[in-house]
Amino acid sequence: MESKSILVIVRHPPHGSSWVREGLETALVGAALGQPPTLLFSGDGVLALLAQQQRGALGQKGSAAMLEGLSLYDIEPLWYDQYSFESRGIDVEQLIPGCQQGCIAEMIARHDVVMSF
Amino acid sequence: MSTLHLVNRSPFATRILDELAAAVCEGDHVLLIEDGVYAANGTALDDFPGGVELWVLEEDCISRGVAPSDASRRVSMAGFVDLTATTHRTVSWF
Repeated sequence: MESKSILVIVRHPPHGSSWVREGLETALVGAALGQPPTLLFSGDGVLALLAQQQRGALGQKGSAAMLEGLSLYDIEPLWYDQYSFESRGIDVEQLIPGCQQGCIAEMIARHDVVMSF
Repeated sequence: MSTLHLVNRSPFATRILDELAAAVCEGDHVLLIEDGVYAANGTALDDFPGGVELWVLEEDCISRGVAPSDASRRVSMAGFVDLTATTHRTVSWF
């Protein structure tokens, strides 16, 4: 079967729901099956890329540790949408290493399958 | 190689339409479903980029009493299926 290029878009913030974790797990499944997807953070999803995130008050782990491990599975760079990023008042210095700015319209157009989280 | 974008949230509760405006390419289709149909009710789509076909799901308009403005075209559930079949990929903006 011909393989398809996959884009995983994370659009929800990292705490308060499990969307980010589920998006990352999906990306890892793709990588484990030999097809690392492109991973893009857009909307509130860019907030998952903030460095220095810690455990929440209830001790929940968050997604920061998982993000740091993605490069081991050839999921890199971590793409982010510039508009979402700027409209939330984030500086590039505040991001974890390995992030890169991308054009969301162009990225959607060049992938066969797009999955949103 | 066009994309079908599905919007199911009210444009007044989220900034999805702003985000989507940056993500569409010329020739793409945007289909408003569920609470997304409220975007077809008034002026929410006025600043949306051109070159994109706007659709609104008829049965969700009927259930919500929404009369779409002329900017969008009504489509039935069967038409929804046709759109998914004639576009190259689908992106859900939930």
